[in-house]
Amino acid sequence: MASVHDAERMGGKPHWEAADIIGKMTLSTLLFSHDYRHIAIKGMLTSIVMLGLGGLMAILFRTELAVPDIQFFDARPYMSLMTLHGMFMVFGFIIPFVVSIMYYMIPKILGTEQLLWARGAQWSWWLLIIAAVLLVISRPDFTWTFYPPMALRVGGELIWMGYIAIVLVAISEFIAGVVLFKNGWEGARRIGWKKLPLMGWGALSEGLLLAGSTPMLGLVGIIMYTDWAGITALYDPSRGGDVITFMYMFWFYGHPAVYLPLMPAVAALYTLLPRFLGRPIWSYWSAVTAFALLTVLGFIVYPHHFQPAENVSGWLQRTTQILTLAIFIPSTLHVFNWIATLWSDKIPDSARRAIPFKFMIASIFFLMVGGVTAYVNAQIATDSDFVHNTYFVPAHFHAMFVGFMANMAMAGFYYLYPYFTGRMFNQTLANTHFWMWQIGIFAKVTLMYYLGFNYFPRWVVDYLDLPQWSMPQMMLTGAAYLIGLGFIIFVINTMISSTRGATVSGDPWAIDDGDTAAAPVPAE
Amino acid sequence: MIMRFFLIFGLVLLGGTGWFIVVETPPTVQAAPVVGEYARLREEGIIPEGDMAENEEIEHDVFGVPPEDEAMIEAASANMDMGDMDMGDDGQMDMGDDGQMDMAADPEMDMAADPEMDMAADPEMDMGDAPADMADGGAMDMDMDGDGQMDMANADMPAQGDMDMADAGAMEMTAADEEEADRLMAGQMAGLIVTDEGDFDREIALSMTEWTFSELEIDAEPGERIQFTLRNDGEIVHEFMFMGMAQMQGVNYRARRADWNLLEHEALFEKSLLLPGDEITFVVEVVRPGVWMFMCMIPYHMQMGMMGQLATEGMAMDM
Amino acid sequence: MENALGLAGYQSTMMIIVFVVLGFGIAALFAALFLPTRWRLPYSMEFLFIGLLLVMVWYGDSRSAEIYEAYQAPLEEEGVLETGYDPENSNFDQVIRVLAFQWGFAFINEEDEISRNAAVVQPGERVLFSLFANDVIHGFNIPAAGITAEFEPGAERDVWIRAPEEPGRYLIQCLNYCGVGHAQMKAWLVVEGDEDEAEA
Repeated sequence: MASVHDAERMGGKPHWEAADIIGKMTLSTLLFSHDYRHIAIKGMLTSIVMLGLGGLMAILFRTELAVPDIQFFDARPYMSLMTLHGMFMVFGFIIPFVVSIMYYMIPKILGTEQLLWARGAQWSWWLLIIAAVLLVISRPDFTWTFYPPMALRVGGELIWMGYIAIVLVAISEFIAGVVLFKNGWEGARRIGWKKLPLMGWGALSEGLLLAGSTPMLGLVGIIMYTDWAGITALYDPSRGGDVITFMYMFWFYGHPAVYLPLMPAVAALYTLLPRFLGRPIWSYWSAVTAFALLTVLGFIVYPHHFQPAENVSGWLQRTTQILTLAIFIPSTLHVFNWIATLWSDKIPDSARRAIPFKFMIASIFFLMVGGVTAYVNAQIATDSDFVHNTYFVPAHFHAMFVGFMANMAMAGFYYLYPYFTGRMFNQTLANTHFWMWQIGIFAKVTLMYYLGFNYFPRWVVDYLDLPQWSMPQMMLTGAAYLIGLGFIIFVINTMISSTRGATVSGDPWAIDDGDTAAAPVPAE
Repeated sequence: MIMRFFLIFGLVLLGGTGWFIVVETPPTVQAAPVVGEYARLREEGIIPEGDMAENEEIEHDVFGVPPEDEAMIEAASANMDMGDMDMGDDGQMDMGDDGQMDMAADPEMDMAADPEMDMAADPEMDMGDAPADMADGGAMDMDMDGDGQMDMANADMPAQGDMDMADAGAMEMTAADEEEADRLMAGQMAGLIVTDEGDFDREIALSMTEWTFSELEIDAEPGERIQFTLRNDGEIVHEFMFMGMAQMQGVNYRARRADWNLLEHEALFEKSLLLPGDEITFVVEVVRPGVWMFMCMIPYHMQMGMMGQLATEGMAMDM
Repeated sequence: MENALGLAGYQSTMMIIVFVVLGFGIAALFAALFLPTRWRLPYSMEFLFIGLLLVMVWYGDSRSAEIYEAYQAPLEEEGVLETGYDPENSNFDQVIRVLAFQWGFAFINEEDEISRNAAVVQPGERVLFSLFANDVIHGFNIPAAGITAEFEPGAERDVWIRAPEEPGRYLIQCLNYCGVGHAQMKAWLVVEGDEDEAEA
């Protein structure tokens, strides 16, 4: 029976054979096929384009921020760049990417060889594309969290397209959630709850998070539109509305939103670690518990995003503080599990050489960095003292989004590369990409934490020429360029190797320990 | 093929979006609230009704002046002082062919006649007669902390010429009087004198809203006195200043700095806070031909349209 | 909050805890990767670990709650939060009303005098700021006093600080995106006293 312990399933069987799927795709299969492999590939490649787009925005505004005073972009274009950076990265890159990885891996791992309700996945993709187009045309310049009444009073004539785009994103993610949940559920029914591979548990958690949180995002988008059009006045204080209402509604989606890319990345780690190490995860039940805890807690900690808006921190804020502190328990359980798995036995040489494995280790590293520093984000006293809306907050979420999730996305992409193209990518280029990214991300995250500790404000096009602000900003721009360069190398590698890489036969990720090729661990 | 498709698609998208956001940059739009909070705050007694007195404790040296100011204003003045009046840079300074224009527009430049008025801080004003160095000049030695720049009892900025007049007249003045005298002297130099009240020939009601003044171009005759009733009919706080051309050109660079709000504004006349509903009256005497700008210099208000000009015939500038 | 309460080192304590825990985590990861000795953890280790995490949760929560409750006490005592702005408030040496607008701050002191972008306080005194936003959400942060708040139109947000002991000018900044002028929305907190001219 299939289970996460069954390493045999991870390689060697026909449906995991390397094949040139991409090479055989035509434009019409790309756009209209319901085959889960085509959908997954399409999703991943589109997400990479969005990563490039978001990254370009970042490079542009980072250039502006390198030195104090406004040089290239005035406030409005700068904020448009920053808003689109945030929206493209969160909605366009990281969530669709990891969800696409799941679309590919679930049928494989659960042994079904088909994605149920693939039509939904198709719709989800199309809605996202339309949303992206609308978003760019509307040129929002009010940050990705679009707080009213600011967001209702800027932007110009076409800003309503941006609100519609938000609604479409919500629908797109909702559909994706339903698809994932359905597949996870069917898998559990077939295989049995006690033996469901962790990827299946990940799909269930992700599905619940998506389906539970996105309706609220859609509602918020609709109300923003009607408020803007003058039909309602729910969020505009000057017309009788209330901003705190928005905060409660938006962050009800907004907090689960950060776990949306996290869950599949975690599930992928649980799937790929045994694959490379040739042994099962240290504790299955710990992983399941952690998934469940994170899903539940993820829905109820959201008030911490607007804690400094309240005059008095009463029982609600205290409870939120406790729960927010508690939510780092499930994430830490995951890390504990992975480190224990790594430590339990020898790490094969093939793993140490493998690029996906390196990216996985890097992502565990950054999950720790981002997770542990969140200990101060969670506490009201320190939040109101020095964390809130300073660079400390983007430092935390960049450590998570880029350090953990983007690294895992790369790990997943490099892992699946031979299965999509039938070829192995260039190792040197991939290693260069890896190191550029890790150095860049580490520098970026550290510098941002330092700036945050020094009260550097968020969302500013320009800053005072203080020594503790100017130098780190300059270095931060350098780190951003390094990450951008790494991305370019990644794209070059992907392109070149798809036609000129070494063809793969057999198992591209076979475990090889130098002595005899280690036999996969038999199912227990 | 698919890979290539995505690559090309991606590059086009990146290029197109980059261009659309950065090059085709849209104008800044900022709608004002339908109703600002001040009405409610006044109703509830949290803010007193009517005009509030300015806090005298805030001394002007709280707000510094960056050293670049001097250079910038110098450059702006130099730019304006051209025989053919063609302001090559932006073409905005086309002032016709009245040779007097440059001085009226930059009042501080008109010191050549009076050597006492030369200031070390503004070398371009040194028309060659008296040495520019005032550090050891007689009555004009204001440089008490030895930093080479004029300092005043309550301001240590190398002002563009309106700060060192205190000694030109009565020497025993209180700080406030001194400031006021400075201002009036500067006004005299600039060609525009602004007082709180006085006789006037004409009345103008000027209304501020988001983001403009009710009249952006005001014509005046030399010698005319106009009483302005300035009212904030908007929903947001505004300020009001009169400035000379070079002064304004000179400090424009501040718009690109984050410390805009932390710096001092040197102006011919300034009312630094006008809450919605507030109203002030003042009389402007136009001493001689020239053009002066009035604006609200709260960050971005000016860029969004809150700037106008008061000009005598033929002096108006294309803005 | 820490500065207002005259505490010292709470922020640093927390950062040190963060670094120590992070250090252990990274050490464990590297050990798992590079140390030749392998270690098969017994499952009970995990319960121990969870226990440790719960201790951290409990510690962070109780310390933080202690601090913010101490901070809120003067606000709640005098009923500031129910009655709103009240010049008679005796828990504080000075009450300053702050009007935040796009894009600057106006400070109104107890004598109903208004000033733009500068607030004057005495060294070491307890100052209550009553924050009012005119148009959109603004933020209020004084790095030297270690306090941040955000406030929206239609509400009053009260924060108090203990003014720094050293005379001079300190930065006040808006920390919530409020429009194109957000980056320039800064003000001075002026602590009176014998200033060095060098203080900038």
